[in-house]
Amino acid sequence: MIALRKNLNIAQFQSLIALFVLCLGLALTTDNFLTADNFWNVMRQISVNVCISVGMTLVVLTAGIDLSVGSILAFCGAVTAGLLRSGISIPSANLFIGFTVLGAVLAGMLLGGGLGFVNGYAVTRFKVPPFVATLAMLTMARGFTMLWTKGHPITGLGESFGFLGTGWFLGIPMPVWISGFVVLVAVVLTGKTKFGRYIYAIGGNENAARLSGIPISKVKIWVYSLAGLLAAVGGVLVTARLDSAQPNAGMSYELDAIAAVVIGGTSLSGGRGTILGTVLGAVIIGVLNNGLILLDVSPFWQQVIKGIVILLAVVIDKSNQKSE
Amino acid sequence: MKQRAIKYLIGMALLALLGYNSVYFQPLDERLAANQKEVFDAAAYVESIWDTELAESYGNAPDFSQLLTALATDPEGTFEKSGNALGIGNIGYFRVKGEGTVTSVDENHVLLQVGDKSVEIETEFIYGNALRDASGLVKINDYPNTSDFNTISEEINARIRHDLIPTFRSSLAVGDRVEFEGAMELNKAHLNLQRPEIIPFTLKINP
Repeated sequence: MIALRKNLNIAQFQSLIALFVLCLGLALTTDNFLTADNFWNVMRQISVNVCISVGMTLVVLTAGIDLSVGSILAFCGAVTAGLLRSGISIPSANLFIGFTVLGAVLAGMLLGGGLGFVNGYAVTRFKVPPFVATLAMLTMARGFTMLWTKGHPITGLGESFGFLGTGWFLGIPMPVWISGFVVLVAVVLTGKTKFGRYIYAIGGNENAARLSGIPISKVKIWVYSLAGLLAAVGGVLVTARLDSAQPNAGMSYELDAIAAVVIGGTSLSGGRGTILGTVLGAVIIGVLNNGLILLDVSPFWQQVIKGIVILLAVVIDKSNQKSE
Repeated sequence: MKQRAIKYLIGMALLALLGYNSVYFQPLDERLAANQKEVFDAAAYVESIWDTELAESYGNAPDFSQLLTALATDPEGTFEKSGNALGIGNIGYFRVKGEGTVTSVDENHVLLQVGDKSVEIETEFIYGNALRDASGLVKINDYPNTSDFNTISEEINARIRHDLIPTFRSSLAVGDRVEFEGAMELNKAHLNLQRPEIIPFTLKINP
């Protein structure tokens, strides 16, 4: 325990204790919590949140926020599904461009990165506060989703695409592999590269970072682009899992992502936090969601309880900051 | 310089490989012709079952009053025996038929008195899957995607909206006797039998 405490910051240690208590409580009060089926079910469910939360962590580490990830997730999922199912028809050239699973997924991810780039460009070039820029993108992306889908789900996407959301590889669900890969890359990116150090430096003190010669705008644009790209990955996973792109997918997912980031110990004022902390936060949110369902708590109360947990996490984080 | 050129070459090769495995091209007219063969024709399917299986299914529907009595006394058993459900859950769809007297007509529905029960015959909001699912004829696993499956409901509902309702409403008056066949959706967990709503399949005014 002492060794564990040494390797974690205080917020992560508290989160780990909270997770342990939560699991223990659920194991004692429900019949199904400690089953393999339920474990993999929780892991599959949190995979999407892990992907978008990792992107959100990068943004929050630069002292920004991205409210558009839920809408970007929906739009990219819908575009991926649309391209896969219907391709692009160019009547004037009598040409049909079809997309393989790889092509449709890449196009969706490219779109997500592009939308994130727009966020980053608005924040850095026009000095729009991140809250406002990404709020605008939230609305636009949701509107584009409705336009693209005409308000209807896009279904029948095929088995090979569905494998990304429902398949298993070496006894582990595909979404867990994918989100695990995302986490691995993000851990290396933030912990072992110059780019990662720039992110922390910008969030810690932007003026000092600028005076040190760090290309603030470039780094921020990359960070928002990555957040968009990871939201798109989440969109692909949701769409593949449901075999359907829903126009209202990803609604309020940004709040779950922010919650995971905060619970994981990342400071909303930037410069402090880790990817693994966020993963821990996402696991807590996932287990909490799962537990509330297993305990048959009303969905209305579930919202209230989740809100209280987030508030509690922020309060504890603030008190940790003071004591540090 | 040479190293950079090699990097670019490798990058270009990777991009080309990705592109080659990502998209394919086809003449549009060929594609449309192929699609035409694959597209599920819900209208034709519904037409093929309308006067036969569907009519037979609703023609053999349980009597409305008897079904309601059974639901009141043994909901679990009646859901099991007479209801159809798409999957697990509390929602069940029931075929019913009966006869009642028109007590009121408004823009959304017609109210009938059937014995000691009131029943709403929907005439405006003919949506959802009640008629398809109550019939028990169409199973989701028979269709490759939910879109095809849902178009069956759309087609059935459209027929009711366009072919049945306008004729029925145009010659309807309070006090008329009406024979009906249709479907109702009930929630086992919140069973409300006070004023059930019925999506009609046939409606006949008896002078």
